[in-house]
This record gives sequence, C-alpha cells and structure tokens, in this order.
Amino acid sequence: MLRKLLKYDIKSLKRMCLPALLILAILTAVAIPVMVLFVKATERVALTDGSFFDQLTVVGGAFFILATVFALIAAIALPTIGVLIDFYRTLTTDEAYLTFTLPVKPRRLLLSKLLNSAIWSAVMGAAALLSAFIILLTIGIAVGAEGGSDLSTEEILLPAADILSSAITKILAVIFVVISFINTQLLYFMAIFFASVITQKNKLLTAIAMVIGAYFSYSTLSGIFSLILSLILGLSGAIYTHPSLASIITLSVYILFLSGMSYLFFRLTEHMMEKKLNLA
Amino acid sequence: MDQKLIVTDRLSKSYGGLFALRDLSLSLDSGRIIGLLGPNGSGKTTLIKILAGLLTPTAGRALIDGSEPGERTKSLVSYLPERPYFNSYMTVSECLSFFEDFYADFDRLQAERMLLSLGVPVDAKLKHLSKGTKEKVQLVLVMSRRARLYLLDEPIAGVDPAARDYILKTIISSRNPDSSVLISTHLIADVESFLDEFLLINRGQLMLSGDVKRLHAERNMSLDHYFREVFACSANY
Repeated sequence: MLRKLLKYDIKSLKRMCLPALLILAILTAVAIPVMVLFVKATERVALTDGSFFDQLTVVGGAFFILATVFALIAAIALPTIGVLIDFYRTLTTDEAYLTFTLPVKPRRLLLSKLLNSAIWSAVMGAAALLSAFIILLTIGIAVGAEGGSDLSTEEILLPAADILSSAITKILAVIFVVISFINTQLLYFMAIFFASVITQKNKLLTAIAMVIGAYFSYSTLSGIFSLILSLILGLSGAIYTHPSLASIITLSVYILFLSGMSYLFFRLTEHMMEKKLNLA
Repeated sequence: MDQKLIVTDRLSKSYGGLFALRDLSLSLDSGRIIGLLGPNGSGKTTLIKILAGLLTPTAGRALIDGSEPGERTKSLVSYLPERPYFNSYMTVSECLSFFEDFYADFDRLQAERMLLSLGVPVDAKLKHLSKGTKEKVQLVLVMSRRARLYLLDEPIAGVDPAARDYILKTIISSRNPDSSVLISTHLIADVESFLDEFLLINRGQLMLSGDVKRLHAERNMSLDHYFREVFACSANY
C-alpha cells in the first residue's frame, strides 16, 4: 500500500516540480552566455576601459546572479513547500474524505508524504547543485581566460577550508542533514494536522499560523539545547583539547536529539490521525 | 448467532457543548437497504462519517462487522460523501485507476460500463465536468465496489430528476445481496420504493425505526407522508 500511496504522491508533486526543473534548465542555459559577458565587462570596467554598455552589463549581470541565487534557493525549497501544500490538501480539506477512507494505516500516509518530500528534494537539490556547478564553472573558465585570477578552477569551485577533517565526521554530518530534513518535515506535518483538529474554520490561516508558531517554538527549543551542549563541551574543555572529538560528540548528540524529536512528532501526528480525526 | 453488520452502542459526538449525536444505539443486519432520514442538523451525516472512520466519537462506540472503524472496516465499506473529494486535475480514468489500486473489490469494467451509459468521457478532467456529472462519477466509483456496506450521504441531491432513477436503480442492482446500503437523504419519495428499513433521527437521537412495508401496512401511509407528519409535529422542524 505504501508503494501505491507514494506513486500518487509523487505524481501530485510532479505537476509543480517538473516545470520548475524546466525553468532551472532554461535559466542555466541563459546564464552561460550572460556570465561570460558579465566577466568580460567586469574586467574592462575594473581596468577603467569599459564603455557605458559594459557598466550596464555589470549591473545587469549582478542582478541576474542575484535572481539566479534566489531561483536556486526556491528550487531547493519547492518540494518542501509543495509537500506541505499537498499534505494540507489531501489530509485536511475535502480530499481528506478520500484519503481517510482508504484502507491504509495513518502511519503509511505519513511515511508516503515524507518519502515523497525526500525524493523530490533530492531531485531538485541535485538539479540546483548541477545548475550552480555549471554557472560557477562558466565563471571560473571566463575568469581564467581573461587572466584575471591566480586561482585554479579547483580552488574556485571547492570550499576554501575543509572543516570536516575525518570520515566519521563527514558521515555524521550527512546523517545530521538527513535527520534535520525529516525532523523539519514532521514538525510541519504535525502543526498542519493539529490545526485541522482544533478548528474547522479558517483552516488554511490556522495551518499557516501553526507552522510559523511551530518553527519559532522549535527553533527556540533547539537553540536552548545547542547552548547547553556548547556550555558542557566548553566547560569540559573538549572543544580546545580535542576539536575533532568535540565535533563528533556534538553531531552525535544532535542526531540523537533530532531522532527523538522526529519520533515524537511522527507518533503524535499518527495519534491525531487515528484518534482525533475531525472531518466535519 | 449471526453478527449484525452495524452496531452502535450509546454513540455520542459533541462539538464543544453541542451534541450532534447523543446516546445513539442501533443494530442493522446485512442485506438491507436502509434510509437514514431526518431534518437538517439531525446527525445523519455525523453518524455516516463515524461509520466511515472520518470522525471519532466522543463517547460510546460503533462496530462494523464486529470491528471499530479502521483499516479493516475501510476495506469493507464504500463511502460516498455529499461533496466532491477527488483532485480536480485528475481525469475520470485516473480516478478509476486510483480505486483499482486501493480497493481489491473494485470492478473497473462495471464502472466503465456505467460511465459509458451515463455519457461520461473517461479521458475528461474532473475540473471540466459539471457538478452533477462529478457526483455521478463518484457514485459510479463507489457503487462499482463489491463492498459489504455502502454509506451514501445524499447521493441524489445534486443530480437532475432524469438521472435520479438511473442512479437509484444502479444502487440497487449493482450491490451484493449480502451487502447493506445506508442512504442518507431528504428526497424520501424518490427512494422510498427501494428501502427495506428506515431510521428517523432528530437532534442526534434515534426517534423511530422500522420496516417500511410494515409501516405501509400498519399506518396505511407512505414513509414520506409519515416523515412529514412526525416532523411537522416536532418543534425542531
């Protein structure tokens, strides 16, 4: 049943994400010549050799870069927003009459939404990264061709400092990112569904308010937790004497905290779906 | 002893201090067509939704084939709400595939035959269909399941009189003889000839119930006339 639920959930989000992928592809294609022109014009303007057109190109290019950055961020955020909209629509509005009369357990409904979000986030994230890579590569090649930089392409593309010194830290960091994603999704699912349980009027506004409230409340809680953890590590001196070990401990503790909270959010949402369903 | 298909035991549902259902106890057999009748706000839809697993009762319980509404009963129950519940971007064909995927008892061929006779194109998107046609599509989907219990909430309210007869005949002919149909409706005169039993609900409580033929014999009046008499005397109607 989970596979079938996922099939329809993926289809539902496809309508939003495929056009976004197409726009991203077009944007990347347009960015290549724009970035080349931008770099050339910047070099000429820097050498006070640029014409008015070059100055316009620099300004236009800067705005284009800004727009591209926003587009990339939007592309990465789109699946999350799309899944939340889909969750709201299929589990709290008229479509919920269909969803909740399916012979499936509520936990499978939740898991399907979560997996759907993860799949499309991975797809859109990969597309955004590829787009960014192509644009940065174009800039790097254009800068290199102009002879305006002593940096190699590798130095341009890779982060300057590698703070993730050990393999264990790298693995923990990846797990941390994944758990954070799951944690955030489940928090928002819980907030949206709780809104539908407590009121049938102004459902959308209440859901939005709940999501915002949940975000700020949980951020505060996480902030307090981080502070306590930092204090403990700081007081123990571990940060100074064993920084790698401190990183591992920090990431491990965060992962445990987020895993526990994710489980709590999942169970609470499941409980509400089973015992507090209120489709008036 | 034969197990009753539907049993409710002091079933109550309240919203704040307002009771939509209050201490409702009833039992219904398999193989019956039951009319759930009552004025607006009497609790008909609330009862149907509890049986469909869309509302949790405040007190008491409801059992379908011995189980509380949940995953098992949802595979036995075919529910038709009073409003459209498909995503309007879906085509009729996609709706058929959806039902085929999730309900093992769904008969796609029957559904396609019924849609054809109603003149509904299967490749049409729901958003391009009229309200009445959408309701017909939903009804066809629901009645094309080989369910043990059909819960129909106002199935003919939004369709034209010409289609009503067809829909009612479809309801009767397409169900299993062992299955029961619980129809909530205001249009008593239209459904009366098909009903085996009736339940009259008012203010969340069961006022009267019985066999339709026995009512005709004992009171020498139609159910529609009887309903008007009962609720004409009631201050709430």
